[in-house]
Amino acid sequence: MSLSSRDLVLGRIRGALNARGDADVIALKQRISSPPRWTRPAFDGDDVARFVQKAKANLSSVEFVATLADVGNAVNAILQFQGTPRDVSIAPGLAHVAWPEHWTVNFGTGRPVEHVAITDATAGIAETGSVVMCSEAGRPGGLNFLPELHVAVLHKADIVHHLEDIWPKIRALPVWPRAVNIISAPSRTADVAQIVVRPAHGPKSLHIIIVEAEQ
Amino acid sequence: MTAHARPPHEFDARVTTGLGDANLQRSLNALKGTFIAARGHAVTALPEFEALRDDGKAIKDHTLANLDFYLQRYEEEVVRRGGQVHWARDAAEACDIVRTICREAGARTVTKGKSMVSEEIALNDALEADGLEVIETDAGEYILQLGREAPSHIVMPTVHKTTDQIADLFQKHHGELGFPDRTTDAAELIAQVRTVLRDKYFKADVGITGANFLVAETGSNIIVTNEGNGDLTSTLARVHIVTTGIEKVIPTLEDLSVMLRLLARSALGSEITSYTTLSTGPRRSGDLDGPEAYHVVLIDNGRANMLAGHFREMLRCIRCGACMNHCPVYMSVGGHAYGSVYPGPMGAVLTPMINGHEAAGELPHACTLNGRCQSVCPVKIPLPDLLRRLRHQQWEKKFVSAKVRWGVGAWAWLATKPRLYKLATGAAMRVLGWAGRDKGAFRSLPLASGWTKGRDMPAPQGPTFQELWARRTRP
Repeated sequence: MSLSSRDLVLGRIRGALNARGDADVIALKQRISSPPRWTRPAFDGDDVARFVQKAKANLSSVEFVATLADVGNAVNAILQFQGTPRDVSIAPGLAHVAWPEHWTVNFGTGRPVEHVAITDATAGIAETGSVVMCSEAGRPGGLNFLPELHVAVLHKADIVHHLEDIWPKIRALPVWPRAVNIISAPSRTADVAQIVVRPAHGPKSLHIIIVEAEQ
Repeated sequence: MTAHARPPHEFDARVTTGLGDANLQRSLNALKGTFIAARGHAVTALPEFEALRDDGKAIKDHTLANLDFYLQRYEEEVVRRGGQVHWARDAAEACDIVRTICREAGARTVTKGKSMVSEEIALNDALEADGLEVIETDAGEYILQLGREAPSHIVMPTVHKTTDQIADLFQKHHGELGFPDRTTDAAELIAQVRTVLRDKYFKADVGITGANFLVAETGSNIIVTNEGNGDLTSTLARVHIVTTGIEKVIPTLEDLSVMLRLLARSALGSEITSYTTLSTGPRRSGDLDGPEAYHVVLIDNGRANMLAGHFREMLRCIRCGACMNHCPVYMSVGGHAYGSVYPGPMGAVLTPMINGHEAAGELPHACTLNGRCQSVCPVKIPLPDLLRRLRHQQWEKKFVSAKVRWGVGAWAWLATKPRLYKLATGAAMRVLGWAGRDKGAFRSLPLASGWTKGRDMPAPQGPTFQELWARRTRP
């Protein structure tokens, strides 16, 4: 049944369009491999400063640390301040980092109750102040959505100018990820009487830690 | 969730209901201060917005002119990455495909992200008839599901509901789930939704989402949300099914970048939504989460026919809702008055294409041809032209009511006799002007009670337009 519907729908579409020659098909394939460069929003200045400004405008918080090894202490200070249980989920790809010894750590996928999760970003986008998370074995995607507090670790050198600049970085990964999550703000909804409420289903807070050191 | 249950030929009655609904009027009025103002600011803040609209239009026009090529390329990429693609010619077949996937997965619980196409094909009814527990996860859609209602806006489905109405619904349905007390606090109401649905995501066998876009280059479906519900739906269920119209495909990630900039600004007045997610196939080997199976249902349901005729431009629509937010008719009568899944200007064009002229009834006439919808449309769809063409088609096919045909016929007869027209309108204006000379307006008028029920009719202030024009052009 599906096969015949496929032919029928494609037939309807072809019937509505002009016939295509071999040269046209080559041109279409070329358009995919080298797409047109469309209008991009122009902005000047330092990408890192712009990233921080945009992320904060979207109600994320941003902090700088010197090296990856400093992330644990930075997060611990927040947990201490908030009185949050030291039950932390961390992307397994970050298992090699030294984490505070008194934490209970889940290096795995997300659980129904998650206070804090720490995951690492593939890129940051200066244009919008977004972090880009690519799922893979060491980066389960659920951790980006289940915690109350989502800590996104971003290397300063991975901050790119425009949204378009993340695509070459993702294409360069060994396999195209199941999920690419471009995360730009904490979870929110306005479905009750247009009143903005945070969070809806995802994290209440998004804390971005920018690591200054080269990897 | 069956919007189909409300026949569009009762349009007049529903308009009267909408106009008389004080809560609805307050909510619609509030939209002007929130989403409409926010869109205005976002557009002003981006000098490139007009250029992006041209780009967006060009991208969609190019894709539609080569739709078979891009759909096949999209399909190849989905399959290459371990997913499956199903083609559905109409709503019934689309529902059957989803039902079969659910049955073969041994599913009992289905979570759903927001998908207007799933409303279009009445998917929830089909799945519930099979005994499945179907749970809408978008907070707005969840509220409507509890109330067994249809959305009244494609982006803000609950725009017609008051906090009190939601509080009542939750007290009724959440009482036994550990929330016995009625609350009217928006944050507490949403916290209940979060708690109730959290376990459902984990329990779900199948997660169904829509697609804002499909990218042919990578075989990805894209969803944009602020809540994060779509991501939990697609990540935590064993099987992810994407229901989508065939017109959602675009060629590449570069094209996607343009469309994302247009969509968030046009829909919500944001530069970008909280979450923009590209889902591509099932979990990779070694992945710790993500669905074991990934299916896409490509739905035609009238779209390929639009490609052939005068309505191809409507297929550029990216479902942002800006046209309805800026439509004086929608903003007066609300989404439910349209009686169709898609309300407002885009709905008035799409409904006859999907459900037929007869089902669309008066919808193409619910338009003042003021053109604001076209001026805010991110992909420059000439909605007023398309609506005018639909009116013409309805006239040709004699779908216009006898009353209207007679009225238009009488006017046309008069309008082709300039002297008589001048005499008749001049006399009528003088009589009305004299009768309304004290108050300047009529609270009610014979033969026009339907019009004056919702507003006053201003009394003519003096000479007719033709008389004024004649004076102006004389030196």
